[in-house]
Amino acid sequence: MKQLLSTLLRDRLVWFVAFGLGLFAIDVASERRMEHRILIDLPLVEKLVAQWEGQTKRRPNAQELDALVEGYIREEILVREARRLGLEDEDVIIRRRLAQKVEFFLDENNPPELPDEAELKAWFEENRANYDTPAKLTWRHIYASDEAQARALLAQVKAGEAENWRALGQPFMLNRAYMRQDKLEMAQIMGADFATQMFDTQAMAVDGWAGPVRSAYGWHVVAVDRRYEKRPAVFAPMAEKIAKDWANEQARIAKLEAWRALRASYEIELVPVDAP
Amino acid sequence: MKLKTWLTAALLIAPLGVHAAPEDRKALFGETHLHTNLSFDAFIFGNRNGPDEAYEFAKGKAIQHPAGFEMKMRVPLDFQAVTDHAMYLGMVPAMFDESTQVSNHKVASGLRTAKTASERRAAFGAMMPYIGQQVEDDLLDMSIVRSTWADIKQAANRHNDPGKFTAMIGYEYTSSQDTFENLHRNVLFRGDAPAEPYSRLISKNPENLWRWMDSIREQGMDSIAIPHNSNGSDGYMFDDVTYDGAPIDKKYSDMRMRNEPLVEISQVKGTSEVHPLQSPNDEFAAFEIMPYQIATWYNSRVEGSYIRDAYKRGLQMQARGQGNPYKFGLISASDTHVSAGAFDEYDYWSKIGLVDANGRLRGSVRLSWTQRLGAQVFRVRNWWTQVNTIAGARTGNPPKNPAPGFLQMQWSSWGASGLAGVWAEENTRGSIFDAMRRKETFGTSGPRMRVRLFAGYGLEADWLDDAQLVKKAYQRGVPMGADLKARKGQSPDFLVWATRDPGSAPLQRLQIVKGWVDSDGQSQEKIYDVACAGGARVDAKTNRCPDNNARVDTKTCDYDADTGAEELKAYWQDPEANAGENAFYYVRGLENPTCRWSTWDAVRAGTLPNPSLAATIQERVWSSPIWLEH
Repeated sequence: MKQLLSTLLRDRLVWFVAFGLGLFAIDVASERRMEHRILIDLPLVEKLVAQWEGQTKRRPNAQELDALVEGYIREEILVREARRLGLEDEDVIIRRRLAQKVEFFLDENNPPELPDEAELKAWFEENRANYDTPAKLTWRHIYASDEAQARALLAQVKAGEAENWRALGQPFMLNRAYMRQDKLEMAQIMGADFATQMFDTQAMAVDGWAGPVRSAYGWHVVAVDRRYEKRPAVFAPMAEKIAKDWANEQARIAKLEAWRALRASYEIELVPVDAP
Repeated sequence: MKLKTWLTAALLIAPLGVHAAPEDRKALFGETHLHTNLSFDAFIFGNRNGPDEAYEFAKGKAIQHPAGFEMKMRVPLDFQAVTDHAMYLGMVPAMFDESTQVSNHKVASGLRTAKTASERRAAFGAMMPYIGQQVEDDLLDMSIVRSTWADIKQAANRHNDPGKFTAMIGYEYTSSQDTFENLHRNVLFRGDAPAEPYSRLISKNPENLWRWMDSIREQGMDSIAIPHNSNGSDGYMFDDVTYDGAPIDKKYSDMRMRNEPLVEISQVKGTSEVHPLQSPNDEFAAFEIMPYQIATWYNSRVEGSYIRDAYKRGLQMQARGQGNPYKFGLISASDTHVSAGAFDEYDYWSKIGLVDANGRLRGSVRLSWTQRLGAQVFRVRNWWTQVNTIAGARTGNPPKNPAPGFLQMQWSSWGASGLAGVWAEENTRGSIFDAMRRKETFGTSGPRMRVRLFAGYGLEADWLDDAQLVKKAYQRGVPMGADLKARKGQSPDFLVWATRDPGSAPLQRLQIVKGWVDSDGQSQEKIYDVACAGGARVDAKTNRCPDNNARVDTKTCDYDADTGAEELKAYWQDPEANAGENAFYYVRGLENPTCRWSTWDAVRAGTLPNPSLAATIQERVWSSPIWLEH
């Protein structure tokens, strides 16, 4: 036994390995010490003092400075302990906050560049349906309880008694005049058939009193005071809004692409469920 | 001379809309009672739509039902208030998040793992002792409640678009007596609201809620509370004593009316106008009666639970010098728990998400024999018994099922109702709130019927055909919700007017419901038909319109669209007005019959309807009353 030991002590390889193990142990120990070491340097203290000044508008006294540093130490220790316990992976709120931070980076890292006008115009043409104004009517009506009364009222107003139209016919529970109403709004109030008559079938002209038109409520002598045709949007006056929409859209696309690239860099593996 | 100039100037300015005149008031339709996923029960029922989705739905966008189908309005609403339960507001979603402190709550793991309908019911039951404060709860986190409430207020402010769409701030104060005798009310704010809602966890006594409302009103935050489901209150909602059993006095009456000018007459959990037992001469009284105390199988006492009776009680109390605590106007709302009200019989999704998502669960579609035999049936049938066992609360047993083969559920007695109507100058928070305070409101059982009522002295029958009707009526009379000071020796004139919903059946008749206290102190009531469809005349002996023969085919749900009226109007004088008797008068307008939702469910499933449920329904509108005061 004694002989074996002296043989080993003479062997340089053994010395080498032992020395290596010793170095490793020192390294592990110092790393652990580093883990439990909190550096308080001047830049940090200056930062803490600046925060304090921001809130109180004065410099901290010695006691307050101690408290500031002690507060930082406490927070740092608790955060390190939390990390050691792996809480950032477990706590849903922390996970969300971290994910949210990265989402912000995705947003910020992709500020859209300004397009040239030709490009913007082309984009506007592609999306013009969002900017066109639907056809609208500004119109009035006199309400009658039946078709015969409506025809009589029409004759009456056509004969020149239109000045006091508000006082003619039956009372009506909804409005007697509507400004710039599109077809959908009209259909919701007066019924779909009435709106179709006004906008499409008879396509009421701006030509005094006409009708009668039937609604869900009865008969109406109608006057279209102004007809706003469906207006294709014009680029120039809306350029600013269009540019903003374009920028929003580009930002959305850029973010989506950044996300896709990120997603592509991960491999998702579905773990099959074992059969019972 | 100078005065005249000023007056002329004022008259010229007035029509320019500087100050809207009463005749410019328009009927706005809305929702004043709606639960999102932030309500503890709605979340358990599977609802994941928040306030944003609820407002998008009101504006006409389609949103998802928890069962996976789309919900969309036929016509968008003009206004809406999200009214989540204040107690445990936002707490259940927080319990679902395992990282929070409250996820350690005793009931939380049951909530998280509930998948089947019966597990959801059990989870709901487990919450009840906490809601009912039968146990101490050291995990109730008011900071979650406050931040959820801040989110709700923010969502309302985000969606409020004056002139186009009004989003009001509101919540539900969900109080009760000891075994679910329902005393719930919704609190709506005129503008901003305090940092924390006053909930039943602070006090179950509604009088304390009113005191709180009085105190925040002094700080400039006006609010009203709207009670609902008096039908399930077991007589406590319109009791003849206070919450503590003390006699009602003038002070109580004043405080109640200052804070509760309106009551919900109709909603998904039934209609609270009148019970047939109380009004045997009202052949239209048996309408969407929901006979149980809320969340139980106990029958709710009829006396003190219905509105017409409350109006009569109020007059009697007034005669005895106690003031009138029941001089409220009427409104309807849905009380949906899936963030979206179901207003149409033919497009009905009931209220409690995954628990009543289809015809079988609602008892409107027959079960197959396997389903009937399955243990599932047994579990579903005993839903309240489960709650009972877990919660330790008494909830009673279901009556014998009159239609074996169908599930027997409380929600078979629920319905596609109701819609709020207000007469407001403009579509803004202020204008709508002021109309509510004036009680110039009406409620419908779902359709968009509009109704007007005026009373006064010197209103003329001719005005009905005068295009200036409304202007004249406001000038010489008072609108719905108001008091009319009686004149000696004169009988007041009434003008009644209603229009149909273009998307629903035509009108059949308009009625005036009158109640009064006679010289012996006894309360009386009488119903007068005042306008009949098709130009028919009211029978002077029976006060009824003749049958207009409007029928609906319950096999297809088709009805004859040409029978009935687009609008009905009437001038009316009370033939039995007695000098010195205070009285109330309100309008009830009825549609022609259409299929009830339960029949629609059966028609779509290709089966016969549940014979124990009403096959058809006469949708209706109720105006706030006018009170004749001596």
